[in-house]
Amino acid sequence: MSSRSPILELKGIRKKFGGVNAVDGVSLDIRQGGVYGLIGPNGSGKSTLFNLVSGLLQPDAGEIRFEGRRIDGLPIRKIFELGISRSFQIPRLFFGMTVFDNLMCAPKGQTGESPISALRSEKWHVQEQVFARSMRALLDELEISGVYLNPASEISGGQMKLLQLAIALATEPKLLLLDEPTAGVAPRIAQDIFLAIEEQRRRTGTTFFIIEHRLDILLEKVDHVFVMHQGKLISEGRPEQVTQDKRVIEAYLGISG
Amino acid sequence: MGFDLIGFAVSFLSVYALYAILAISLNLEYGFAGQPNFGQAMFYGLGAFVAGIATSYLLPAMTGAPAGSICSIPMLIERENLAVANPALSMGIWGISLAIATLSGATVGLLASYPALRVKEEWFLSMILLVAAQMFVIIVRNTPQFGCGFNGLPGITNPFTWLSVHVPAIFSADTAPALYSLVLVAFAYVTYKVAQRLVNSPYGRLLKSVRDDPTLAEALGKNVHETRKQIMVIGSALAGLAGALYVYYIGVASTEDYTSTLTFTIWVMMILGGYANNKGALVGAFLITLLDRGSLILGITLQYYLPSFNGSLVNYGRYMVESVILLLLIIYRPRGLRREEPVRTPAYGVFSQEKRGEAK
Amino acid sequence: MLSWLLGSVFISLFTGSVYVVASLGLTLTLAVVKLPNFAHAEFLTIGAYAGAVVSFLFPGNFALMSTAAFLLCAFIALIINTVVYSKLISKRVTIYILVLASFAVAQFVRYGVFVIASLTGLLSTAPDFPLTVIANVYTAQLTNAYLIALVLSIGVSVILALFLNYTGTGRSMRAISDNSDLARVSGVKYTRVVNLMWIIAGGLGGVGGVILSTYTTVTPVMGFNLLLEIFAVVIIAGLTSFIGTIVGGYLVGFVEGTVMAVLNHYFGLAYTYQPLLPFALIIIMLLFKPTGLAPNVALGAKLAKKLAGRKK
Repeated sequence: MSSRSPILELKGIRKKFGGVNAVDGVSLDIRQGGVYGLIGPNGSGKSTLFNLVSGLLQPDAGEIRFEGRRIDGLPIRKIFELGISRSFQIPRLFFGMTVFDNLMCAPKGQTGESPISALRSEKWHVQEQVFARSMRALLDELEISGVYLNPASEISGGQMKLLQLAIALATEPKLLLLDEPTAGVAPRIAQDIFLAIEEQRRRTGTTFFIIEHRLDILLEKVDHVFVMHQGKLISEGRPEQVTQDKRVIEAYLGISG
Repeated sequence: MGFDLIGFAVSFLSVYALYAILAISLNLEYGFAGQPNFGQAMFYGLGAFVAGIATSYLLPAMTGAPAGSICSIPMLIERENLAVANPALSMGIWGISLAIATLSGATVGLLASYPALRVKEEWFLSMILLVAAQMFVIIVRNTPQFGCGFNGLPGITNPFTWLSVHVPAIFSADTAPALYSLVLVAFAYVTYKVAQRLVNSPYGRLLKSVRDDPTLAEALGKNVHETRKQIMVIGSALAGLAGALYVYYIGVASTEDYTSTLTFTIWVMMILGGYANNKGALVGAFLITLLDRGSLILGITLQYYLPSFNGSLVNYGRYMVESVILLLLIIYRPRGLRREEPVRTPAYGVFSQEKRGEAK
Repeated sequence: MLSWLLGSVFISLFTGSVYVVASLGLTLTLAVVKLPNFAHAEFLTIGAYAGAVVSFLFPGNFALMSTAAFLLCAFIALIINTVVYSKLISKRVTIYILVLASFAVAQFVRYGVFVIASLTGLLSTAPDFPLTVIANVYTAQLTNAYLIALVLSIGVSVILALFLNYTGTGRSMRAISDNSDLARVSGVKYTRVVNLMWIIAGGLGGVGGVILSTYTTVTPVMGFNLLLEIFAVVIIAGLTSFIGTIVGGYLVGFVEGTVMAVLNHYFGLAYTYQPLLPFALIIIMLLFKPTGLAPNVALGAKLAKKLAGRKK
């Protein structure tokens, strides 16, 4: 793992919802190129943390720095431009469009995205084909085939998750936040997902920050794990260490007990 | 009873072309970009009045004729004479008025997008536009400076009326309207082509993404705010253009033509034909034109054969039928007659190929 | 000089009272089923006609006129809900579709009234309700209609408030307003309560129409002409607050009446521009204070969120 300065730093992040601290003083560092996990019982604030980093929410207190630069309070679009993408626990797609139209929204720098250039197709025709071929390759890699022309609302839940992942990968971000990418998919597909993640990491050096529940994946694929409980960070370290940590076990048992 | 077939065909084509442009403009705003506009009639009316006023001032001004209140009868007659006597000028001013009207529509659309985009919940936008449209009618109707008050601004002659003097051999009562209807159809065709190009492009995808999930679109780097502004400008410009075209067809700019009833009719056309489908907009416009012109013919026919029959009843019936159509659609077939289609760019070609081996 | 101003204030009280009665039904509809019912104004028209017809047989009998109006409008409201709105609401359509549907219902009803009025020669009529002047306040003449309007406005508001807070059905209605899914699974008889809501909403609109007809000519568009004014009232009310509707009703009445009179007197603004004032109110409210002026901000905000959530 690289020992450069962290690509993402959270300092004392706090977020309140109606009297409850969803995120209560979380500080963590993420280094470039790694695969990081975020675990914790339901309601521990994991998705909220992701929302805060990606800009869907503003923190009540604390700082978020990306590549050394403060991003808390920036608009969502700006944060995307700086290189952060994410996926959602319940797949969020453009359900009125087809699968491939959804994916084609991902590539950055499309020259046809203004009304004037839209009318002059020679400006973006070639670029469109190039993007389309690489998008198709990505879909084939993830084994969503045969449904390209379906409306995104008419595919299975597992396919929706894959599509969402494909879109996130296709934006070629520097940091990718994945919210339970393998929840509800068959183990074989889960393996495919992580193959794609590893491929991306190898090719572009993308850093991954993943909310994940599956122990086998955590132990195998993830470098460093953070554990949240009731809005606080209660433990972090290598997956083997963390899963043996008494506090972590208590947190999980305590909730379900 | 003599049935003026040509007259009917001309009026049918003219109304259809205008309805088509209106339906396409609303479809772009709502079907593709998710921006509901309950004030479309206002942009239509704005284009009409701007074109009418522009013409009424330009015609005497550019021929050095004495000026006067454009609403007076003498000025009206003079306008008509000038139009007939000066072919090039008449058509030139027509073109200029169209341009000014389209620009006005675009400008007001841009202005309207500011408060509309400022509001927190989206349906406030529709409410504001609805109210603004109603304010437009009241202001124009009661302010003679804006269009001759209640009775409207008359004397906006068809740009082809000069044919009656300069080429009398081929001219009949129908010639100018017939030629103009072809012009209208041409405009509708171009509008359709332009709209198709707009939506079958990355921009079309952008519109749909803003429609389906604006937050997600932002998270993918799309500028939702800017896009909504753009589409309002485009939609309003088209409606303004349609209004200007209309006022030359009907000859008079009157606020009665631009009420919320018309806005409702445009919505019916769009929903009937098919949400987010330009061909659908054409289909919807066609069917409603059929209803519109058909009820007109029905009314005339009934009054001919039953002299005591009150013709207004057919008109009332037309509006009731239209409402029922919309309700049936909404309940049983909300997507309309034609389904939404994928965005047709080269990407479509790439993705619709059968997989030939592994594309690694 | 001040006398005409004060006289105008009293007239505004009257029109405000009419607005309150006319708008409470719309507030109820918005609160309970989250439907901005653009057809609500048509209840005014139907009520006015019903009252007028009854008055031809029984002149001056306001009670009978209002009863007829209430019953007829309640009945029509029930039919509309059964045939159109309940189907759409259960399909969870977007709010734009609901608005569009209510426009369609409004147009259908309005032109239906045109047809009937046209065939019966009642395109423009007035009820046989003699107005007796009770008092002269400055330049205004207080008639019996004023008194009735004021009494109705207060009475209806009080009764409605009591109903919603102290009866089982009323509380069920509030439960549905708060969270209809939760209410449904908690054993509230959803369909029955919603139908009752429509009876009240439509009926109140009808009664509002009867009072309206005492000073406005009865035509098929009399309600439609006031549609946006009524929406101004409920928007000021924050869409779901009853106190807000009362405040809004009198505010709109005041703006339309007294403020207009002032603008006319001092700035020469013609009365034909009168509707612009409530319209301006709407735009100002939506831009700067969309939750309304009323205390019940929480419910209004919840509604606003819910209306937004309806979108797909």
